[in-house]
Amino acid sequence: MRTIWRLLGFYKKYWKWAMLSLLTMLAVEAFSLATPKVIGGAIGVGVKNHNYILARNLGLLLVGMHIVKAFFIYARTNLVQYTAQRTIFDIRNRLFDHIQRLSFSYHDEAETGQLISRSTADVEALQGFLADAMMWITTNIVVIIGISIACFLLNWKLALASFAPMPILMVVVLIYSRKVGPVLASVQNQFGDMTAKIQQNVMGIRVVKAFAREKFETEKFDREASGLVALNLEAARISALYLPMVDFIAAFGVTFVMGYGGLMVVHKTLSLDEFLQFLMYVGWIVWPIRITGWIANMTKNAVVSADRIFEILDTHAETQVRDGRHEIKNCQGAVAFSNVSFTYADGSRALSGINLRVEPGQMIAVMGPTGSGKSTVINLLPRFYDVTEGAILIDGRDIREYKLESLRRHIGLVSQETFLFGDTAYENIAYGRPGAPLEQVMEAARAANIHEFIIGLPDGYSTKIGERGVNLSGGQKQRIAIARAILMNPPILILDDATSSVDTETESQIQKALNALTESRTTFVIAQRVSTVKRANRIIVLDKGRIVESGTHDDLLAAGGLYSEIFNMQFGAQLTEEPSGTSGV
Amino acid sequence: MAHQAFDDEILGKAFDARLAKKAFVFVKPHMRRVVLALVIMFLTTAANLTAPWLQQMAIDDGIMKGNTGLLVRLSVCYVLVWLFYWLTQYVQSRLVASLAQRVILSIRRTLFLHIQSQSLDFFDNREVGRIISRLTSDVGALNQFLTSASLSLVTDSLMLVGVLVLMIKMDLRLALMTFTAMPLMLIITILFRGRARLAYRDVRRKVATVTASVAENVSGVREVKSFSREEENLKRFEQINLDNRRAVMNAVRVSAVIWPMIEIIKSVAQCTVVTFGGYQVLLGALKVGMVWAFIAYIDRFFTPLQNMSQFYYTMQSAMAGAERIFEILETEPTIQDKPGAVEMPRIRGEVEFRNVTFAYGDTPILKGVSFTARAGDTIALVGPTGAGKTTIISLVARQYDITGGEILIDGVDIRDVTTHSLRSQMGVVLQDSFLFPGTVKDNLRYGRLDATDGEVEAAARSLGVHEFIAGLARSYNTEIQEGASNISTGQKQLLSFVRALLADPKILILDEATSSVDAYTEMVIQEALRKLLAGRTSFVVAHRLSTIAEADKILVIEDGRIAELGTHEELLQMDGLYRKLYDVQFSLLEETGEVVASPDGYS
Repeated sequence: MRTIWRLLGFYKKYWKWAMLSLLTMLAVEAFSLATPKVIGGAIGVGVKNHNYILARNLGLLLVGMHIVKAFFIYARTNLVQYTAQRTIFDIRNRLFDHIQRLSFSYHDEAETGQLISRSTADVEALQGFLADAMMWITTNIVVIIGISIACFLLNWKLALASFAPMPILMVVVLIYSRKVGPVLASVQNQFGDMTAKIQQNVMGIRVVKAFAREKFETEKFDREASGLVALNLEAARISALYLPMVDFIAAFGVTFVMGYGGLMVVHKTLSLDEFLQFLMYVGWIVWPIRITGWIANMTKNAVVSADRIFEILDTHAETQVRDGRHEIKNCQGAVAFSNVSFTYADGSRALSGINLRVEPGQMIAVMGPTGSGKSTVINLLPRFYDVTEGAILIDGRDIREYKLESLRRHIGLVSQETFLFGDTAYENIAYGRPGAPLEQVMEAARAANIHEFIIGLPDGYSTKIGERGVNLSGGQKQRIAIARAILMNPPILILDDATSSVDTETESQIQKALNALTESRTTFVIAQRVSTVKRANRIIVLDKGRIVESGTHDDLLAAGGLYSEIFNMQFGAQLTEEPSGTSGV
Repeated sequence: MAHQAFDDEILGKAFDARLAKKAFVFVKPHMRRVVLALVIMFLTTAANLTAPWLQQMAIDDGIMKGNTGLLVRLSVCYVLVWLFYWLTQYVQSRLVASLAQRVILSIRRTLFLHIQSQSLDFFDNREVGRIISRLTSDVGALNQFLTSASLSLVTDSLMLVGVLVLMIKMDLRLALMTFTAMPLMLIITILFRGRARLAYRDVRRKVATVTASVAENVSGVREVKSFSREEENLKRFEQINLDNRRAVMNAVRVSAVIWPMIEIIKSVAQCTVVTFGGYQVLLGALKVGMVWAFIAYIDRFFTPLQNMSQFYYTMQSAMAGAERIFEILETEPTIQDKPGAVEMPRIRGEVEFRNVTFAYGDTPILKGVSFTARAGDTIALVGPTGAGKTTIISLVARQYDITGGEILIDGVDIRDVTTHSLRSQMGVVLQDSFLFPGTVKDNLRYGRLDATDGEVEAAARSLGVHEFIAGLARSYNTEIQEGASNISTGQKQLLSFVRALLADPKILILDEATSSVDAYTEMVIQEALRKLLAGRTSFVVAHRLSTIAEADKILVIEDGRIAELGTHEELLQMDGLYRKLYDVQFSLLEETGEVVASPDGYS
């Protein structure tokens, strides 16, 4: 119920439209409620008493009423849909925005497939509820009250008798919705799981093929799909039992009218036209109740969907509450870590007591074994995660006091894995500066050594790249990422220095691009290349979340600690294999 | 080819007999259920149609004649009829549901299996999200049509026919007058159908755009955040969302006309019955209860007609779904086993390329590549990006079919054997080491499902990876999250090595990923790689100097051809392309060389 109220909260903004919809609903039902009177009169008085003229006039009145009613129906549908669509529109936007503002740790945990299905399929489910179910709930309430009043005014004794099955009906509907609700919720969950399985399969298809594991995958999928079938059948079983039961119980009402009401007509305590009106009203009341099942179904679905949506909306957007107030002005690029510690939500400690002072324009290479906390260090700077202890300062101010957007606009990030959006090459490079002049984009692309490649594409910078367009190699993607960063021109740069999947020539191109990029910026680099490490002003070596060594390349080599160990392991091996005498370039 | 619009633009005709026939294949195995459902539906409809008839008798023979005994009996009958209705409806609903679910499962299964059998080019050209929606929403739409919609069409038709027969029996002239409504309905449906169809087509397209936009933003959320694109993306999404809303409202405006129109027509029919029927009663040709029953039947006459106009939309979206599903089902995998393909015998490991050419679409990639590899050789492939190195190694596992020439393994043309027997003897390690959500152990076992825990651990130990795995939060039982986001790139690579080793392939294909790991991991990887390659024919797109230098043969690929071929020393002496490539890389390392030689010699 709380979920529904919350959902209706989104309606509030459009209360004027909602009221207008309500008025049209009332108008439509007023005409509907009058119909049995007219038909009952036409048959029970006109036809029975051989008053042909009266029958004809009432018939014509019926047509006239329906023409007016038709206009109201049309208006109602449009108004109801309009209100619902506006609401859905708001929910979609809200959800879209919220998801992109959720924290990194959230996205680390969340399954992409689930997030997508919540913001698409679940929102669609709400649409049905907000438009159709809402309309029918209101209409039904009006109809039931209207019919009750009409019947009691006609003959209270007969009304009492024919409404006797109503409480039982209500109970049945209640039991039904109790039983079917949890099953429908599992159906939706299972559907999400199945979708996730399909997604994993398609994304990992190369591995599937490489190991000739199609059969295994099909079995895995089959389990999910069969699970979905089983749940659907369970839901169907419950519905099959209860929904026709509603018709059956409601039939008692009509039976009472036929039997008891018929006897009253015979005994002249009820007129025939009243009897016919009763028959129509009581027969009609089945309708709102019959679709109660359907509405309950839709409502349950909507509640489940809404809960899943609210679950996302209730997850605190990162730093939404804690966003700072300050803009970064004339960023110098001085960065300081002051006694920084970081513990992940699951309790694992990633960094302890990091102290570091970086002058503007310096390059800091971060090294250390896997899991030593290198990535954590660079994730903290743009506040992808917030420090658990201590503080990080940029230009002397705690980064939590800056506006998040301002902070991130001043920090460029070139990560190991580059995501391309299904858009043009231009849009992909201008990602950090939408609407940047093409000239500047081209300049950035040139600096990143990707310009030549792009102009070679069928539509140059307007060529769609990414999933739906031209596929790019790892090296090309990386240079797009570098171009993005160059265009953004951030005073602070974070570089996850990866050269995966490129040949030596590309490698040298990337290296040149990187050199252009890191020039005169404060740079943090998770270094893999010796040349990069060597160019760094300082190297910090992390181990188990602590800085174990810090200094220049020479200092550290001379110190003979972890750094020199790592250095010799990686680069020593390569160098000894090089034939002597090939050093001339 | 890459620009080819994928098939959400296919929106389908209203009814396509060819498609329906194809789709019917999925229902055919369940014909007994269908027939049973039809019989039950007949009974349900009969029960429903009895109700007004009982009321008519109650009025004409009970009330008007004052026969109270009959009135009571009819009332009891009325309840019994609805009891019967409950039972038949229960059976019917369960039957239809079980039918629907069976059909949906078999469609999904078939489609999934078919997608699995596709070659990689299929996946190269399609977005993940779209493939998913084929298996989820499109299957749903098709199923809706095949089962619930068609069955309710049957119920509606039965009801319609039943009402027609009863009306004609009661009074032919009144019946005929009512039927004049039918052409009117037809005209309205045709008038608005076309417009509504276009409008709904537009809605579908807009919804697809919304979904795609959401999916992209979720997948690329890291980029979104690091570039602070939230505002801009929301702005763009709002526009897409607005387009969607407008499309929906447009569709509503068009389709909302139909119902009120039907209401008017219904009232005209009822007016006719009351007026003319009243006249008939006057003449004594009709009874009051009959007129009443007629009015009730008119209601039951219009309800199925209204449902049928709804059916049209269900059918249309089903047809569109079917079209997309069959588009996939009818895409023959480009790589298929020849008729009479035999099992590949146990591979020794000799590989020969004979003048192999390959084109991707219209773009020639390989232009005549010939070489041989002896069993156990490590073949390193080097060369500029786009030269065709990755293509060559993909061809060995027959991930694509060559355009010309021959590839022989142990003297057997790989197109003459089944792909399953071929690939199951090969190992492939890709640059992006994809791991499935699940435990580390499950992932390692991927190539050999029956490997025991001991074997898994032994394999990890033999590559020197055990310590790495033991260091994970829950060792071999660590759950890998989607996208393996809780595992580093280096760890992913190492796991993919173990995964390959456990499958014990006779031929190993490896697209080497370098540098994205720290120095220590790099060393472990190099060691693991050396052990993995030992003793089996291996093709490596190599980036590491160590891998290249230790290879038995180096193929230098340039522009789809083998430019140079030989060992590291031979090629260096040739002073050609290899030398050049080597120097480019070496120049990056050179500074370091000096450092090691004289630690003070840099500035």
